[in-house]
Amino acid sequence: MISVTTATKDAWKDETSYKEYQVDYGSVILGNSRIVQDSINISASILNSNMIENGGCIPRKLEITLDINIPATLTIGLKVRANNTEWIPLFYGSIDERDKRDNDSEVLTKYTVYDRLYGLSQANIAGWFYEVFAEDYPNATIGDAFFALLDRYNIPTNIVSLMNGSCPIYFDVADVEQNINGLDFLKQICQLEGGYGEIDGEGYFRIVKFNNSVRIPEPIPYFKNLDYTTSDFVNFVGSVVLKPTSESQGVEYIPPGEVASHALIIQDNFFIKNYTLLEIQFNSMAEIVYQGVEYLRASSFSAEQMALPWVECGDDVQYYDARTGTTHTFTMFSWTYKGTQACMNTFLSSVTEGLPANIHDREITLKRKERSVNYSDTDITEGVTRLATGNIFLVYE
Amino acid sequence: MTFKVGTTSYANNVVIGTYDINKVPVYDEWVDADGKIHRLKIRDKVQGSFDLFFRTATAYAAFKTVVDGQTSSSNLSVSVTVSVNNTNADSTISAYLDFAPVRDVDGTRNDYYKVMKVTLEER
Repeated sequence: MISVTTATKDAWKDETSYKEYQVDYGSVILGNSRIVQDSINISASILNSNMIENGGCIPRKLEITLDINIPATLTIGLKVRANNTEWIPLFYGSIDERDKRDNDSEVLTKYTVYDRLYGLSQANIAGWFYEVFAEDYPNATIGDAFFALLDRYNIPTNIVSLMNGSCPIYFDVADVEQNINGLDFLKQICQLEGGYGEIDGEGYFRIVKFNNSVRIPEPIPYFKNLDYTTSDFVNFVGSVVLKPTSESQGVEYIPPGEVASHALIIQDNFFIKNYTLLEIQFNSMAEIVYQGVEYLRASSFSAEQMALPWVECGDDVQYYDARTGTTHTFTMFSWTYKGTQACMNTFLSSVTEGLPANIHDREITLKRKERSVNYSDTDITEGVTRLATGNIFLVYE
Repeated sequence: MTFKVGTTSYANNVVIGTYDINKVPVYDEWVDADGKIHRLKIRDKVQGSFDLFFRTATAYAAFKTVVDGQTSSSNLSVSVTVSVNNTNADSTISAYLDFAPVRDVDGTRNDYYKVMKVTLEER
């Protein structure tokens, strides 16, 4: 949650408040008079499927129509304030597309802008990775790779160190000869941090973690739409399993006093692919991941209400449902911001599948079935892979 | 008051008090985030309407022949010279003329065509 004063919050909650926007690119600053009414549309998310898969790193997107032609290579920043209170950053990123509005306007141009993660998603960093880290081998660590990558793509961050940052990177030349997607690379680092990466409204990379037992929800004064499942929290992470590859054995961290259930499984991660189980165990990697998601409580909801731009992905929001007379708290994983003066937020968490129910039970079941039925090797391998990722529930009979 | 199609004048056929041809701006309009309207002029164009009266069907047919003589299937605009009220000057322009004669079926051929409204828009 962006830290803002009570005065700012009150100003935003006043329906009649005047919203002032500022678009800046280069050294140019544009105000409301250059922005087309209701043309602002921002979407941000840290979860791109209905599974609680950690990692995040989903580019934030801005659509905006301006009466000016900005060169395609420039970076745009957007911030907003209500009734002359403090500025709240909404977006920072580079222009991807420019469209003349329906070709019927001489002056208006619609811009589609993504934050810098988008550039990373288009990049094959294998060559860079090899050049930078081949010389340091075998001393390069995950932390080195993280900061070097952000530096390479001009992504600022306030993060000073990573929990798993001191773990070494083991090279496999076969890997660096192939394509390494920059975004996947970053996402996998965030995965090992037990967090969800994203670029905030000021362009800074941050990792959203659920490591604090005290989570203060943002009360939503009223809403236009609210849909949710009956139970507040459908799932949470009970333990973490780190598997170097999908077929290999893994290391599980079960917090003291807990029973193994609702395991968050991380597998095929580039950085631990060549690790032995002992190394994973020795570096407490599974425990570190667990700490990042320990207080994650996911449930499915969607809501639309007046824009509250200080609420960010991973924040808790609280609604009072007058239909049932109950108060519900949800963790929000994605939001949109639409409009200019009468601006609306939609908050969303579409976690419907949660985590694979119980990896232990299912693996045991699978092994038992394997003994009694003949399957080809491919069937079994595929079955184990799919079962372990939890995407498809296979029934072996 | 002037109304010529090509070089043929029809000023005497214009019904008095109906002539409303003006030069108006063509503009692009959009609304900003403060709700204020922005209009940007692209160009000017002459447009408007007036009524024409032909005493006989033959006279109307002659007018129609002159207009049709300037148009083709690919270009329906005609060259006209008109008085422009708000500039107080005559202007020769390429324009689209739209008209539809009213047909009075009262049995006398001479009354087939009476007053008809003509709309004019510079291309």
